[in-house]
Amino acid sequence: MQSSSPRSKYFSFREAINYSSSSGPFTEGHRVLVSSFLVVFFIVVGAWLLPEWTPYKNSITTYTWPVMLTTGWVQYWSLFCPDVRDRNYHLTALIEFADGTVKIYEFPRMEKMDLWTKFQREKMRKLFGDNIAWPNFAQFRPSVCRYLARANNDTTNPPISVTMIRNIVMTPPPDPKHWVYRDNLPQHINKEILFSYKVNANDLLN
Amino acid sequence: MSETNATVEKWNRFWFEPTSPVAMALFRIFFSIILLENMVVHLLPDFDIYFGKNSLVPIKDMMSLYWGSGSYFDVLALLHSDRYILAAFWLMVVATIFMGLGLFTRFSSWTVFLLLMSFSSHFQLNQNAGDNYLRLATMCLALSNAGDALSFDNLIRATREDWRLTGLGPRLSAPWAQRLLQVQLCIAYAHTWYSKMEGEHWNDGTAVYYAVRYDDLMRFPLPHFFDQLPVYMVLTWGTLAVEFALFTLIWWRPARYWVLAIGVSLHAGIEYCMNLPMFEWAFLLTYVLFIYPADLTRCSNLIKNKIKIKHGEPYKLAFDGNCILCIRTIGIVHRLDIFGRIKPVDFHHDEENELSGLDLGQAEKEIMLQKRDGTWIGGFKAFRFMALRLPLLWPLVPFLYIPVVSFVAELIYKLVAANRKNILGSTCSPGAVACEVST
Repeated sequence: MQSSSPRSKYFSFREAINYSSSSGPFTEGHRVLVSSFLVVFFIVVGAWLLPEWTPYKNSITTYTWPVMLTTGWVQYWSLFCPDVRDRNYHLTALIEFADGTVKIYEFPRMEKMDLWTKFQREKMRKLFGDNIAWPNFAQFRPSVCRYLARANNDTTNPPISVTMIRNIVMTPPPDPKHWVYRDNLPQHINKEILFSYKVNANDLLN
Repeated sequence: MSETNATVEKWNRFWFEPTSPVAMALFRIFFSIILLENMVVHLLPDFDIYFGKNSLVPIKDMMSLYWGSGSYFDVLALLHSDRYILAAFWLMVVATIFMGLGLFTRFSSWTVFLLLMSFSSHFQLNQNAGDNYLRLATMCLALSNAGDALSFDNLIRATREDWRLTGLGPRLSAPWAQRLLQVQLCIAYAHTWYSKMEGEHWNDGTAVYYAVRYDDLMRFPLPHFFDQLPVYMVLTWGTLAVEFALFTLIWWRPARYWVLAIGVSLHAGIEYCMNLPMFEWAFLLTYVLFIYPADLTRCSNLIKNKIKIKHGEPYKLAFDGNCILCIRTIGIVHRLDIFGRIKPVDFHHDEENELSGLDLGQAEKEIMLQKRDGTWIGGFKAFRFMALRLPLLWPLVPFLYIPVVSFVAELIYKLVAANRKNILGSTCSPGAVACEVST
C-alpha cells in the first residue's frame, strides 16, 4: 500500500520517533544576556558563601546583598556545620495572670509527636527550636510573648507577664565506657530563663 | 587568544548546546509534588500563626526586626486582609499544580517563584535550607524549557505541529537553566563540605554521633549494634568524602552514576534517621538532571520493553498519513502514550501486512484500532479502548464506561470528527489522498 504522493521530505512515523527538532541556536545577543545573568548570579552567591575570614568579604557583600534579597537567591547550607549541636532542648513559657496564677505553656516538642505530626509540623521545629530559642533571633521574643498573652487572654483575669524558659540538657559525649544509646537520651532537666515580658493593655488587642 | 576562544567555546557548549528537555520535565513534575507537600502539609495547618494579621510575628514586626533596610520581595505586604493573603496562597497552590501538569508552564512557574519568595519574606522564621532550595529550583524551572516535554503545553503544541517535519522527539533547547540548577546543587554540597571541614566533630569523627541524637529531628530508631562509635566515625568521614565527590567527581562522566548512587545512599540514610521533610527529596530529585539524555531514553525504552513483554505487542492504530488532521491526532496520541502501548500505522504508506482486515473506507472516516483478536474498532470505542491502556488517560476511563456518558461521548466524538478542521487545522499535505472527514 505504498503511496505515490511526494513523501520524500517528510518523516515516516518510525523515523519521526527518533528525530527531535531544535528551538535553534541562541543568537549572540541572547548568549551575552544569559551569560551576564549567570555571571551576576555566581558573583552574588559566591560572595555570600565565602568564608567569613575572606578579606573584603563585607565590602563585596555590601553591594551584592541587596541583589540577593530582591532576587530570592539567599541561601544557607550550614545544616550540621561547622559543628553539630551537642545539646537538646525545648522551650516553655510561664504566663502569669492578674490574680497571681501561673500557667505553663509548652512550645511544640517534636520528640513528643507521632511520626506524621512531626513530619507535618517541621516548620514549628525550625521556628521555635532552631530560631527563637537562640540569641540570633532574640529580637522576636517580645512578639512571641505578645502572641501568647493574646492567646491566653481572659478579660476578667488578663495575663500580666510572660517568661520564656529554655529547658536544656547536654548530649552525653561518645565515651565507649559510658555509652548512652540514641533511644535512651537524658531529659531536658536544666532550665534557663530566656526572656521576661511585661504585658500591657495594648498587647491584648486583636 | 585561541585559549580564550577555547574557553568561550567550552562555556557556550556547557550552557547553550541544545539538549533534550525531558530531564527537566521529569524534575518539574516530581518537584511540583514536593512543593505541594510544602504548601498543603507544612504551611497550611499553621497558616494563621505564620501569615495572619495576628500572626506570631506580624509583618510590621518582621519588617522592622528582620528586613531592616533590606529590599525583600513580598507582594503580600501590599495585601491588607487575611482573606487576600489566603487567596494568594491558594493561587500559589493552583499555579504549582499547573506547573506540574505543564500547563502555561513558564507563567505558572514564575507565579510560583514570586509567591514562594513573598511567603518566605513575609514570615522568615520558619524557613530552612530546604525552602531556599525550593525557591532557587523554582526560579530555574521558570527560566527553563521544562514545559517542552511531558506537559499539557506540549500536547497543545502537538495540535499545531506536523511531526513529519519536526519529528516526534521533544524539542531540543539550550539547557542553561538546567545547568544552573546542577551547579547550584554543587554549590550547596561544596559549601556544606567546606563548612564541615572547619568543625571539630567532623574532624574527630563524632559528628554523626551527635547529629543522630538531635531528639527533635529523630525519625526511626537505630538498632544498638549500629549505634556504635566506630560506625559513626566511618559515617562522619564517609559523609565528608561523599559530599566532596558530589561537587567534583560528579562532573567526570565515568564516575557520575557511582557518585549519584552513593549520594542517594547518603540522603536515604539521613531520611531514615531524621525528620527533614522536603530537603532530602528536593536534593535527590535534582540528581535526575545529571542523567544523560541518551540514558534517559534507554531507561524509557527498557520500561517500554518490559511492559511489552508483560502485556504483549502494542495495539495498531491506523491513520491517514496524508491528512494533517490525522497527523496531529497521532502526534497527540504519541505524547500521551508514555509506555509505548500504541503503534500508529499509516495506512497509505506503511506495509500492507500491518493492516490486514482494515476497512479502508471506515479508516478514512475515523481512527481505527486493532484488538488482539485481529478485529478493528473505530471512533469512540477505539478511543475508550485506547484510554484504558494509556495511563495518562485513566482519569477519563470511569466516565467513558457510564452508559449515558458513552452515548453522549459517541455523539461528541462524531461532532469533533466533523469539526476537526476547526479544532486541529485543515491544511492537507501535497498529494493528500483524504482530508475531508465525513461522518
